[in-house]
Amino acid sequence: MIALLNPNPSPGQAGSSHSARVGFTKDATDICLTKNKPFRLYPDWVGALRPWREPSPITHPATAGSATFMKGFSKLENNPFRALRPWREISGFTLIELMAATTVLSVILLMMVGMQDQMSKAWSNSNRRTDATREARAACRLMANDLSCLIYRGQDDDNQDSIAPILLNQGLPFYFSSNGLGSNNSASPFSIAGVQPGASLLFAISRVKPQGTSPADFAIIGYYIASKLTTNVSGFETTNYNLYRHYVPASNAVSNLSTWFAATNQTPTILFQPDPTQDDILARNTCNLRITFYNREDGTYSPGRPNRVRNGLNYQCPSGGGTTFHSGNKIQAEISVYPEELAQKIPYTNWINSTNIQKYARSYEFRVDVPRN
Amino acid sequence: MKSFAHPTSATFARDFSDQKNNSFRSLRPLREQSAFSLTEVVIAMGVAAVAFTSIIALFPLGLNMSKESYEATQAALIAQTILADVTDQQTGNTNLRTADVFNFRQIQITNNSDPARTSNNYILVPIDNPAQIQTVYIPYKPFTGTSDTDTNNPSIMRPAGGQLNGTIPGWYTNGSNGCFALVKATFSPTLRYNRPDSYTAVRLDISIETPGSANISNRTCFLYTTAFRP
Repeated sequence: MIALLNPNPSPGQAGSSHSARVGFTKDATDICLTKNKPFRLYPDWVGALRPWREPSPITHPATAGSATFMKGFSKLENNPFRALRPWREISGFTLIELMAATTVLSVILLMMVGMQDQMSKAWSNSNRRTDATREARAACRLMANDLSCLIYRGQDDDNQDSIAPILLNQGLPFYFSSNGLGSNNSASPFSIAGVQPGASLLFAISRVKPQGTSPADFAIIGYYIASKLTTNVSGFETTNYNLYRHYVPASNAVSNLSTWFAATNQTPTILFQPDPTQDDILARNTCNLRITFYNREDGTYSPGRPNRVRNGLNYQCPSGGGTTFHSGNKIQAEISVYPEELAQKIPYTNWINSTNIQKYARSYEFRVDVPRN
Repeated sequence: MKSFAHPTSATFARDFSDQKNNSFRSLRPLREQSAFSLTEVVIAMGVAAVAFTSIIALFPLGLNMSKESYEATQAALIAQTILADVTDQQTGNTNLRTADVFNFRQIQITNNSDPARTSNNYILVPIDNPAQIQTVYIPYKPFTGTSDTDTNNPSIMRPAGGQLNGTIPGWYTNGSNGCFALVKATFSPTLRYNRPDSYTAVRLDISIETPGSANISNRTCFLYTTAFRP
């Protein structure tokens, strides 16, 4: 802009603009700002950013005196530079410009808010999935610990002096159902409120690690799937399947076991009394508990054949047409866990649907080696 | 006229460059005053781009958290399953224990985990030569409904094959499409250097590498080390 007002610039004074200016000298326009000292305006100095316009006829400002010179310039009508620049550069933004800018800004903001919303949902879903995975991992860890410490004893182990008389020639109680049903697919002896149909049940005695100053002991443990009605903070009621852990500590397990041994009718329900209102929820939104014993009693694969384990943990594997008792084996467990947001969308009765399990749930499987004597 | 002195010298331009003394300032602000230069705009856009990129880059990190948690959980369970196969003495050919549990251990290499179908589901790993390291490569894929233990057909990570020793398989080095994880189980002697017996521990390193479709250099490795006694 300064260069525009430079009177009669020589090529030496033009600086870096010299080379570009030389070719347009013939198009220069004289602008009289002072008497006998015309200014020259070179259109190439205006640059590509501003369109060249023919200047308006200019009245020499000297005739109006020094005071009116600026006054005259302040009036846009008399401003000799007006023709060189459009109105808006002087007057600011027009309403149309502001509206257009606001519209563009609104569109951008809407896009960003939408993107933020999607990101927020993805983040929340990711957190819920992580929570579900964490719960499943904790559940699997505790289950593996319990299952790998199951206590078993054959009925022939009655020659130990340390065994109380009431325990002599007694197999330790144990209940397992691969499909939640009773013997030969009869009704389950347990009446657990809201238990998931088809899910495995397992109740047994397991060793527990020393706690505090107490020595190692045993406890009654059990695993099952049952539903629970909950009310969230918004007042909505939802019913979910959860993985429950039935746990009776050693202080009560011993007396319960003695009572069971002394009973004339030693049914599983006397010793194992699962109650969803009392037992711990090990993992929420969990279904499809599958527990498999290696090797099972029948030994031969056949679809629909019950996965049966006989005589507590003294399960056997066939050998040459007969049966041979072995003292150790493996247990496999599976669970399927739904993330929280999907658990609320899908009715819990449809959780065990194969499509839903494969599409929305995450399934976990592990095996443990049962200790041997 | 004194207020608007004739610019007879080089100070004319300097006077006009001085914003405070510029008589035309109120009429026409200089370009440097009225708008951003191209350089400024480019720099501003660059700063904004870096800031947005940094913020947006945080989201995939958060989303990966779920994936990594899932992979870590599955890796731990796979390692536990392999360890159970190895430490168990009973599951083996035709539902019986192996002929000599001091000589062999077994690892599942097929997707069928039905305990009644064990004749071809396992690979025998010799552990009778303490000086020789045994390496087993196993790809893991999601399977559904492969046996009667898979009621309701959950998608479970199961072995899809296996190789004992030999040349490192190409699918292990380069990754294999559809694989969730690639497993490398290494049996190595520990303290004793004679034939293992019931008192000799064998070290087992289980490397669970995810994702199974990625090259070996781009996989996350979950390493579990344990020892077992025959």
